[in-house]
Order: sequence, then C-alpha cells, then structure tokens
Amino acid sequence: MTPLLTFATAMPAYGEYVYPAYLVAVAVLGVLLIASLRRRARARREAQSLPTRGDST
Amino acid sequence: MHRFANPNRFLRLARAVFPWAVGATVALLGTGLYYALFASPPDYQQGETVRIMYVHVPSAWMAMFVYAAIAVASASALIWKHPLADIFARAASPIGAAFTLLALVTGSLWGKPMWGAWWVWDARLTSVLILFFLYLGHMALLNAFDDPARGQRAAAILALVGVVNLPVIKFSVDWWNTLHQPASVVRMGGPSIHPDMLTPLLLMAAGFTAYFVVTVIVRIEAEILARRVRAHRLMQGG
Repeated sequence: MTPLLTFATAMPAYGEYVYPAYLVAVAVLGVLLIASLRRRARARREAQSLPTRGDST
Repeated sequence: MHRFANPNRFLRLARAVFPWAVGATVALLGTGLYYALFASPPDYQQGETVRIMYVHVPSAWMAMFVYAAIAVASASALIWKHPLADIFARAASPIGAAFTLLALVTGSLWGKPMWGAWWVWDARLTSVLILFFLYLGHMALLNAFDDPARGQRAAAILALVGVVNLPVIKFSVDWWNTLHQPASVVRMGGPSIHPDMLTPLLLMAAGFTAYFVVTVIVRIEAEILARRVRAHRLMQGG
C-alpha cells in the first residue's frame, strides 16, 4: 500500500479530469481483456474434455 | 484471405503472432503513457487537460477502425461465406463497443472543463453515440436467434448498413457547425499538431491497435473452440 501511496502522491497534479479519463480507459480495457481471457480458458477446458478421434466413449 | 479460412491454420498463425502482439502492447502503451503523462508539454490554451487527448483520440480512431473491419468481414461472410469472417465480426464487436464507450466517456471528461458541459447534441458526439448503438445492435442481433447463422446474417447486414455512419462521423466537424474541434492529424496538408504531442498520440494509437490484435486473437480462439464443442455436442445429440 505504501509504494502505491508514494507513487500516487508523486504524480503531477493535472486537475480533476485527466486521471479519471485514464482510469476509465484502464478499467474498460482491463475488464474486456480479463473477460476475454476467461472466456478462452473456459473454451479450452471444454474442448479438452471432448473425446479424441477414435475414442469410442 | 481464403488461405486462412481453415480455423486450424489460423490458430497456428494466431498463436505465433500472439506473444509478439502482447509484447508490442506492453511496450507501446508503456512508452505512450510515459510520454502522455510526463514527457509531453501542456497545451497553451487547454493546459494539462490536453492529456485526455492521448486516450480519447486513439479510442475514437479504434472505434471507427474496428467498425470498418467488421463491415469488411461481414461483406466477406455474406459474399464468399468465409468461415472466419463471421467469427472475426463476433469477436471484434465488443472490443469496438468498448473503444466507442471509452471515446464517449473520455470525451465527456474533456468536454466538461473545455466547453462547460458533459454532453451536447453536437453532430460529432451524436454520430459517435449512434456508432455505439450500432455496436450494441450488432451484438444483440448475433445472439437474437436460435439459429446462429440467421443471427450472423442479420448482424452482417446491420454492419454493412451502418457503414454510412463512418463518413458522417469523420466529416461531421466540416459539414456542420460544431463545438468539437476539426481534424488535426488526419487532414489535407498534414498534421497541424506539434511533434511533442503527436508522438504520444501515435504511440497510444499504436498501443491500442496492438491491444485490439491481442484481444481479438483471444476472442477468436475462444469462439473457434466453443463452436467445435457445440458441433460435437450436436453430433452426440443427433
């Protein structure tokens, strides 16, 4: 927590609108990327559970 | 294009490109953020608030670029029945919607200190809002039918019809009186923006493009695997 606070207090003051714009960008793109990775991981799990060709079960 | 119609061949290529795209995203966004937040100067009129430009403008560019790519893929799916085109359109649509939302929200955060209003029903803002609704409509249509092929066809037609909105967005600042500033990078006579500001802007735009490549590869792979599982279950059920 302390390094984060040190970093936050060391950031230049740009008024009340600049950082929220960057935070929104990080949040939107971050959530989309994580959701996509989770979706791929689920799809990989399901595909791996399929019987391979020649498997009679 | 048809060389990559085979999903297995595409997946092999995508898996080779993926680590490079991740590296490029990290490097470009890291450098771009450094320039945008620390190394670029404030604007002589807008002061520090100009730094919002480095996320707002690349988001708006990507919103339009992704929509154009979806339209090309949709045309390819309708005309040539390219199997990966539908998958690409489905994978790219939420990413384009995210970029459009980002352009709208960051534009609003920029508009408040500069214009004194979060939102105005200006031609540029309204046409970008319509683009956001087109993305939502595209995603809704893809999932609106029991038969996925019908949903893909309806969504592809919507994507093609919606292309008419792209030149409206681009030229809205020239055709109508608007609060939004005119083009300062992609314009006749070259960019009118100072290189100190153009550098972070282009770095962030390249970073957003690399992010798009990473995310779309992940989503395409997920969709190909999900279709494989669905097809297998249908065969088992039938």
